[in-house]
Amino acid sequence: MVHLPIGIFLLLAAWEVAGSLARSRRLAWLPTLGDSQRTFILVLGAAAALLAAALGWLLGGRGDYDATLVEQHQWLGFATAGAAMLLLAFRRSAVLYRVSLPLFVVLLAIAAHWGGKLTHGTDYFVSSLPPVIARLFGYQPAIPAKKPAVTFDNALVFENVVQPILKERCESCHGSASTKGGLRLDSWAALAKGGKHGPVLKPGDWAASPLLRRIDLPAEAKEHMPPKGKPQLANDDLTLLDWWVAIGGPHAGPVAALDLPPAVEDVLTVRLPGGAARAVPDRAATLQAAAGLGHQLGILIRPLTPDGPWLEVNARLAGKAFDDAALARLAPIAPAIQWLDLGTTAVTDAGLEALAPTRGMQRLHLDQTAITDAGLARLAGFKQLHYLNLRSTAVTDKGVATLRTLPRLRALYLWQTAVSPAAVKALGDSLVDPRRIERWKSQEAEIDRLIAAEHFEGNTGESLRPESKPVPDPTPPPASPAPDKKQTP
Amino acid sequence: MNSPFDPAIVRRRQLEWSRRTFLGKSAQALGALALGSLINPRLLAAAEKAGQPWTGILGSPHFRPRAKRIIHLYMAGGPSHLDLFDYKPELNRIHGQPFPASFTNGQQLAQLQNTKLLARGSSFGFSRCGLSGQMISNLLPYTQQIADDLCIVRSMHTEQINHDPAHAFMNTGSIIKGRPSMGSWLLYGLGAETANLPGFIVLMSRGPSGGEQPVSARQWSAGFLPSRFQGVQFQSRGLPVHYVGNPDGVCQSMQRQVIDEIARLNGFHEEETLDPEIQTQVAQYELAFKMQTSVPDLADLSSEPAAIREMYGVKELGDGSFASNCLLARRLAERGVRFIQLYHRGWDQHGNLDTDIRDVCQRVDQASAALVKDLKQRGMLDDTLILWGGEFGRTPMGQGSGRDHHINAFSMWLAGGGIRGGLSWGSTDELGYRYLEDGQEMHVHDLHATMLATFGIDHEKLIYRFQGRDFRLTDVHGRVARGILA
Repeated sequence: MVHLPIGIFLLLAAWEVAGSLARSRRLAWLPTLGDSQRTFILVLGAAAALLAAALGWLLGGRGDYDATLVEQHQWLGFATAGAAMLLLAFRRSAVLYRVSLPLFVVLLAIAAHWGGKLTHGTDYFVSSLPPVIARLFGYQPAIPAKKPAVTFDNALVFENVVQPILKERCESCHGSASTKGGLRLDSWAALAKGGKHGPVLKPGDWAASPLLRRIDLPAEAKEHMPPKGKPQLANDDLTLLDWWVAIGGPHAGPVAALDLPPAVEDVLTVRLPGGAARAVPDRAATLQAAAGLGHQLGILIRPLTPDGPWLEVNARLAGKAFDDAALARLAPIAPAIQWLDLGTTAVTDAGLEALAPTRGMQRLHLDQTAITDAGLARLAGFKQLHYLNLRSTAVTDKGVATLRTLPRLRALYLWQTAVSPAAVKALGDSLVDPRRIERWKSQEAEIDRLIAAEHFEGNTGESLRPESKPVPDPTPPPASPAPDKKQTP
Repeated sequence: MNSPFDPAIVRRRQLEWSRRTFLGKSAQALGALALGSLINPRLLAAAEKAGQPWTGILGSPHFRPRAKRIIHLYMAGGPSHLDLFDYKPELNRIHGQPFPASFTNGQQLAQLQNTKLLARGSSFGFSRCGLSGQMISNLLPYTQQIADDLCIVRSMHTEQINHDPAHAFMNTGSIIKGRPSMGSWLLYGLGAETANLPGFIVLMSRGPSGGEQPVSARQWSAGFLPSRFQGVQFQSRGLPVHYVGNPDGVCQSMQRQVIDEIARLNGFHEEETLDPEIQTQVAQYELAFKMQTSVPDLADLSSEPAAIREMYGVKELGDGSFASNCLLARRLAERGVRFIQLYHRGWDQHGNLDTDIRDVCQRVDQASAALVKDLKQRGMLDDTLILWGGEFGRTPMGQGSGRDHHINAFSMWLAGGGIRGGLSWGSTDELGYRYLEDGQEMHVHDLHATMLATFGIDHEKLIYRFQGRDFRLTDVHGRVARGILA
């Protein structure tokens, strides 16, 4: 609607210019504006300007936008509408008309520029000019040059991981210039405060956070955010936001101190490059080294992610043909292996030496191999290991005890081994984080409270503890009166 | 030998063919040349050198995978969710009374059309199971024991109310014939982890008699994907593959020579006609040769302790029972097969529900739970996805002494493979008639999308161009249920 009077008056101005140029013989082919046409366009333009001003006044009253900008644009708009009517009145007088038309176009441009500031942000125009020219207008790029580059080591979880997402995808409508729904997402305080309909974030609770629920709605849903037509959030953005809310939405603290699930690590490897603590192998070099190695050794080597260097190596299909010598040949790609399946192969304790540089190992299958406790001792450095399969091997309680040094170990499979349950329990006790136990205990109290308040569907009024009695079979339903036919569909 | 799709060879051929050759061969030749330029060369590159399996069209998954293989326990016929997983006390309360018309007005009915609709409650009790407190019927005592490993989805719904279209919908995402099944898409995308067995294997079992519906072999076809990705049905009675050994007087090395020679002759034919199905045939001969050794090893149960057989409830491997198939499925999973589908036909209880469903549960329950437990103790549950369910559910309205087909709500469970255990996802209204739209509804397309997501595949990106447009398993639908992924 607002662009209609702009278009009409620019057309008028262009036509007038063409008309005056048409007086010279060479440009006589240019069109001239006749009186009746001029009147028609001026009337249309003035009507459109009045309508735009009225609608703009109504929209401004909603309070979604920055108050100062709105007021300035409002008066400019009224002035434009008034000037349009004056222009209509001046059309007969050649002098007045020729003077006021250019002035009017300038006024129109200024009013429109303020409109742009309202919708796209205060810096929308200068920020898209080449930097040399932008600086003449006093525009400073947002990032000050003094700050050190953000790497994984010094990244802060809210400022460098979450805030850039909100800034890029949400700030155009939920920022300083435009505040739809009364919600601003450009600072932690604003995010915590919420908007017109209340808080948008409940730390730790995905389901009670409208911010995430609306992003997760299907794209066609009315309430889906960002709205249709605006740039949408990428899958990686969603992964990071989900994780951030799940860990309680911290707004301070470094990323490196947090326990990152593999999916989140993948995304952050790409977004926060560098950092000495996490020497990430180079993807291109790794894939080049791996190419052909799989064929030569008769095993499967595949990347785990589309853009990271991490590899999955499956030697199971080579079976007994894969031995320590073959394992040693994996040395060039060892730092990049995260999943390694050596089950049913011929590797021994000595062969595991070759895996020494594999600091990033997460899943290791050693089932049905000749591994013993000595081999387990070699796994001490795998700080990222969370899955270890030792079934049907010759390990004993002593070997299992050495696994205490693996802080991330979550799944350990010891079926058909000589390990005793006591040893496993001791290992579990030494690995479990006592703070987690406390959190679970407090959540259990909450569950008990909910049970008491009968908030569960299907609750038959009995206790929900595992020892509770099952619901007894009700008496069989009475036989239906119709005879039973054998159905052949 | 070089693949005939090597660009250098194609170019040479294009130069060699004179006008006479063109006129002589005309339509077939032109078509074949065009075909050659359309097919993705990666699909047909002779990558199976030295026993390397086909590793899929995707160079790497779209995001980090969780599952590596899937066992689909397909309960064909439509298990009654109201008697198995969906506890509806309100339905029991109005048993025998007319079913409220507000639910059924305008909704599709199968055989219950033009009959009086009366509510039918469940004759079986439910219990809260495990630490997660999932409600599971007392008909499934073994499944109750593994409740903490299951994610029970109660808001499943589909669009096809009769068996064959519903099977097609569940397997291929469409009722239009000629579309590839789930297993074929997976093989196309990721390949298998073995070159000695087919990557997609199907096993069938049945019982009790009377509740069976046929399942067409079209359900595991590769559709428009090259036929090397189609499912292979193994026998559930006797040896998994009959006549797998050599005839008398033929030794393995002679067999090898025969196959190499046939492959060479096929190669000549392929250079002439550029038909990709010839490559499929060469690959299948190779696979058959490998299976001559791998299948007897697969069927050799002497390494299975009696305790394992008892856990599954197997009386004898190869007796055609679901339990025997489950044990075989576990062995297949250990050998790198990507997609194993076990059909059990016998859930179509239009009548005699109370007796027949007890019977079929006894055949299926123990083995399903044992499969989960067995994979778990071997450490394979983390990367094996198990799906249990049918093609649709059954009506809360009675049909004689049974229930009719129902598309608006049914239940499935998922376990392993990166799925959160001990979780109930989605629910139905108070009579079990329709799923609730609370963000946790799961359409068949959503199930497909979620299943592909556990393999690290973005369901919108695994596509195949056919008849001028890009096809995918979920077609233009499907939403990943991120809440059930661990």
